[in-house]
Amino acid sequence: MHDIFSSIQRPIIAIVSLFSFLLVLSVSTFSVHATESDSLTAQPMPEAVVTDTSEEPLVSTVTMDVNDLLTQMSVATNTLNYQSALIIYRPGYEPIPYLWKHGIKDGQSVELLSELNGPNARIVRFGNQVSFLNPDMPAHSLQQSHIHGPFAHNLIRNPELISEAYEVILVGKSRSAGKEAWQLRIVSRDNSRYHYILWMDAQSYLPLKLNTLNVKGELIEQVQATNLQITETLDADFAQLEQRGMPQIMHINPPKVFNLNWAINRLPVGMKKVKRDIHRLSITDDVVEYVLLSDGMVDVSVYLQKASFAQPDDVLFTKDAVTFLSRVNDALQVSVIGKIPPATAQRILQMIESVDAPATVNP
Amino acid sequence: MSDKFEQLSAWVDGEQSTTQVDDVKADVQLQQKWQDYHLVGDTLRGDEVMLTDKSLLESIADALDDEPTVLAPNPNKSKIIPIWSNVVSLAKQSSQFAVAASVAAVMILGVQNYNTEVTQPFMTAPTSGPQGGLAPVSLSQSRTIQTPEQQVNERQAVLEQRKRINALLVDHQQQIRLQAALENVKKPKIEQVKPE
Repeated sequence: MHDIFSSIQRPIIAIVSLFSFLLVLSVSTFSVHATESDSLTAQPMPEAVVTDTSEEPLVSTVTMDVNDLLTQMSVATNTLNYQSALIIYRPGYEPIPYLWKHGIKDGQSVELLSELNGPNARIVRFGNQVSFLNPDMPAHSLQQSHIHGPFAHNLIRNPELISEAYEVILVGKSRSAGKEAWQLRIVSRDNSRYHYILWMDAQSYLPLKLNTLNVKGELIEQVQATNLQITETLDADFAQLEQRGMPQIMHINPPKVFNLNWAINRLPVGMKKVKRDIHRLSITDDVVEYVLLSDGMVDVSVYLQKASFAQPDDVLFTKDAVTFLSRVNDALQVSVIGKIPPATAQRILQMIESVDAPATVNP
Repeated sequence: MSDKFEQLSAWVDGEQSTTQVDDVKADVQLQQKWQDYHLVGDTLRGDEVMLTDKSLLESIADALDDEPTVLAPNPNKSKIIPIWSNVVSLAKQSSQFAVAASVAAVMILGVQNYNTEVTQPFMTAPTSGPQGGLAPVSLSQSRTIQTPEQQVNERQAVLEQRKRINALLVDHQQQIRLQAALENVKKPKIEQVKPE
């Protein structure tokens, strides 16, 4: 009796579940259709814009000299009153917005760089005094000629310093941040560094956009100005800021030159040893032997320290476009850090050899 | 008494028996048994069984009438149609529905499973590594089964390693910043601002 009744009820459940299944199916197919049609309608738009800008300007470029352009840019960056809203974008990460201002106050160059998201971290420069105003750490000042901003500083200020390692090629005219722009390619002479593409405002010669590309031509970092304003007068922010209100410059004694008993035999073209010393790491207090390399665009640190534990494989990763490579060999850990391709970091690491006596870390 | 039924059973089966047609005609008990034996025989052989006694079917039909059924079979039919085929078809149908329902359920589950994105438990920063011999920072690649103590130790080792890597990265930034300051100390910078 009961069995027969329950066997009659089962079809009801079955039908209900069938219906719900059909509903799920139809919803999912509908959503697939929706996204397909979205992407179809969305695609043609940017293409139309791109083809519009990139084709025609190539003709009128022959007359401009690359070095002239770069010189004009360094003069413009150091002398104009301007403010530029910038975004640093790295694929896979959130874009970071900055506001960058420059002006001439009382005959000296003043500069302000503030991060727009998060805690109000600001860097202010009066002449050669750079003050770091960061809520996370005590304010301090250093003696520097510029702020390390989103744009590679030597490229926009001292272009002659990068000429040994990079060749700058004028590509043509293009458009960026709503302005007509010169487009330049900055190519490593021995193809061992990242490549760059720079867009420069054709009117003011200020930088608008800088793409960093890896060896395969993939974008790894992009600095893009979204709004560049050149003004006759000094920005109101600078009127409020007083150099007297800034912390005193911390004087750093030039470190003694240490004789390290290791050396990097061969360096990539245009890369030079800038500094070598022995110091302690601020976080772990470990003693490290240190060499700083630079090619004008990028700085590369090489560390040698006692390995505290075994590390069978090389450690290699890239964070914020900075490559970190570390290897432990004979209880010594060697690390290479910098905005260079992993292959180049590895080559630098392999070129490290002991000089005279076998390498030991002296505390 | 039982001998009489045995004889009847033999007669029904077509075996040698003392029972005669007249005996059955005369005895109501034998008539009842005769019908039962044939019913049992037909049922065992799997033939369709026609019940002349409708009491069972009727009581079922009455019970069904009382129930608030939606998809009950036609009550008129159930009174006449042979019970065996009826029961079989009902069972068949319900089992088919059950199968269909379970298939649908499995498909729904499958679709849901298929739609959920596969998330990897741990991702290191994307590295475009050159030649072999390089490994990401993660130690969680292939593991044998470990005791909790070993796991804690390994986690500490990873944390320690991260701390040391972080120390180097921070120092790298500091060195770049300091270097810019030192350059200024060494050579008083070329005047960059053009006096008006």
